[in-house]
Amino acid sequence: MANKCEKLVNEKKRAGEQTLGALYSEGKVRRRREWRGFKDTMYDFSRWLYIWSIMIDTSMGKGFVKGLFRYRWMVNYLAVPHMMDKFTIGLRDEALRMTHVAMNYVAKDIALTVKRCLRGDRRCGNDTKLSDQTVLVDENSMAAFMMGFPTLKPLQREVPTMFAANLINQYSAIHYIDVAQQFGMPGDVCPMPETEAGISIEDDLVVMGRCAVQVNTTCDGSLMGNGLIAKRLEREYGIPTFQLVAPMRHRMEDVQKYAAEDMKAAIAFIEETTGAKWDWKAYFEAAKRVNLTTRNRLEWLDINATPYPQFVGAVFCLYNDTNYMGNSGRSTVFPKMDAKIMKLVHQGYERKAMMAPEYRHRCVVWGVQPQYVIDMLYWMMQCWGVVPLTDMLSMVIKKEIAEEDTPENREQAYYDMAYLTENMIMRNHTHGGVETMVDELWEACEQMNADMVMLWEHMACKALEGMHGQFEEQARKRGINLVWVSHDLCDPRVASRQAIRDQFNQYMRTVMREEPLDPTIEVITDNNAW
Amino acid sequence: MALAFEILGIVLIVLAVLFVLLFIIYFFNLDMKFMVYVVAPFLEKIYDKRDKNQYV
Repeated sequence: MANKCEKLVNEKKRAGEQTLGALYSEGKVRRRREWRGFKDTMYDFSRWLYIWSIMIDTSMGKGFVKGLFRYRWMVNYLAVPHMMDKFTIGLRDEALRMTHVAMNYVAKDIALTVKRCLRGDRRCGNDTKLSDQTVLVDENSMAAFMMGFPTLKPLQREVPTMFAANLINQYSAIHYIDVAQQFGMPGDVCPMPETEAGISIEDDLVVMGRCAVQVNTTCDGSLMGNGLIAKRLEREYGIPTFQLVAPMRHRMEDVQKYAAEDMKAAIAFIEETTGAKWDWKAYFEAAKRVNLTTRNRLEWLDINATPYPQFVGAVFCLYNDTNYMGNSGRSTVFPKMDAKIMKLVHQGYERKAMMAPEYRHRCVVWGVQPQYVIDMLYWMMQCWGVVPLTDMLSMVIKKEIAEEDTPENREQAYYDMAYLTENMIMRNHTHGGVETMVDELWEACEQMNADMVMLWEHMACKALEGMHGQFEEQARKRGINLVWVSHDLCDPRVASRQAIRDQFNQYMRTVMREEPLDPTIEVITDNNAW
Repeated sequence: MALAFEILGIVLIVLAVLFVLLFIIYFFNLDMKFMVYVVAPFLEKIYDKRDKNQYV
């Protein structure tokens, strides 16, 4: 593997604005939207109207008005169009379209979750029928154990409250982090589960559901938060909660039987508390869609391994997360979205479409990543010509699960669901030993023909910090350009957006001795922005 | 027939005005500016005033 990458120049001049700095102001939102040439601006405008139609539709739901005034996290949803602007900077043609197709569907999925939350919430819509059909599922878990319950609705209530809110507004978590710390929780755990715990302490999670399933992912902070949340769920609201305890050393053969038995226990718990029966036909239908998702993701990665990557960035990751983890094959709509994206990917690849004026480096993004919150990956491409080919969270399973309904496969299914849960995004690389975290990074570099790694160093993540030296030593030996970028996930008071970008800027100027492609965005005044 | 053309003309003018207005809102990010300076501060005041049931 060489530490030099051949520079690729885009022969097609980008339509519309050539530099992007003029879009940013010091305020919470941008000065104006990007001029992308007539055709692409009109397309972006039509998608903006679509996003507003989703928001208006959500606001018509039962319990919405009460929820808007009751829950602090609801204010973040005013900024959904701003989030779309973050994820589309500098994009044109197919890249712009696939980003919108993927992200618009993610937005629709989250809007549906918000709608369900407020409709079923005892304090807002109080729809008891919906609440009785609902199983609360931990945000950091695969919905695999729900694949055979077509009549039940899994609800990840932390997604609209914490995760999606933070995609939209970088400051969405700080109130809840402060609440958690006021109650004595340490400040050095991951702010993501700490926020979730703060939301529960403040009683700002919706109250609904027949039962709940929590999973021991992904870290000490997650376990701490789950304990608090489960206590409130069970003791105050009478919602029984099951603890699914997936093995940490998940690559070892001798833990798999235990994991499969635990999966059986989770399913039995749901059957007992809801009265619903496990449906094998629905399970294997969902399994087929999980496999389709896997095949499509691997094909996108194959194309990203060529000189003309197509589906990249935070949206690649977010779409895969939503589809792979949150959906787990249950939705019949995702395959249609996959097909639309695939068509655009092929079209872009065939005409050698590029997303920036130059590609100077091919980069694998690794570590615990805050790229959802900021537009870092698109910025790297537009500012420095560094293409983010893939990221740690998108490198999930490669093998397909059993999808034919046979007696042997019914037994295998428990192992498959356990396998999916063990290999949930984030968890599959932050747990399981050095081979999952370090060795697989070099495999990804080899596979993607990368000459650079951007390693997100989440300062509160103990799983990653212990391996800092190994990454450095091995990158040097392999001739990989390794850029460390420290951050504190969803607490921008610790590491601001510009402080994060500055680390990358310094590396590019001092180590790589390069000049930016677009100097107007080397320093952006967006520290206060949503 | 003349009336039909007149109605069509009015509809087209209304649609054109609506398009121009929406495009101005879109391009100059007026939707987000309205949210950030008017709606969000109003809602945040309400959240701050609300009684809270904080509990560990």
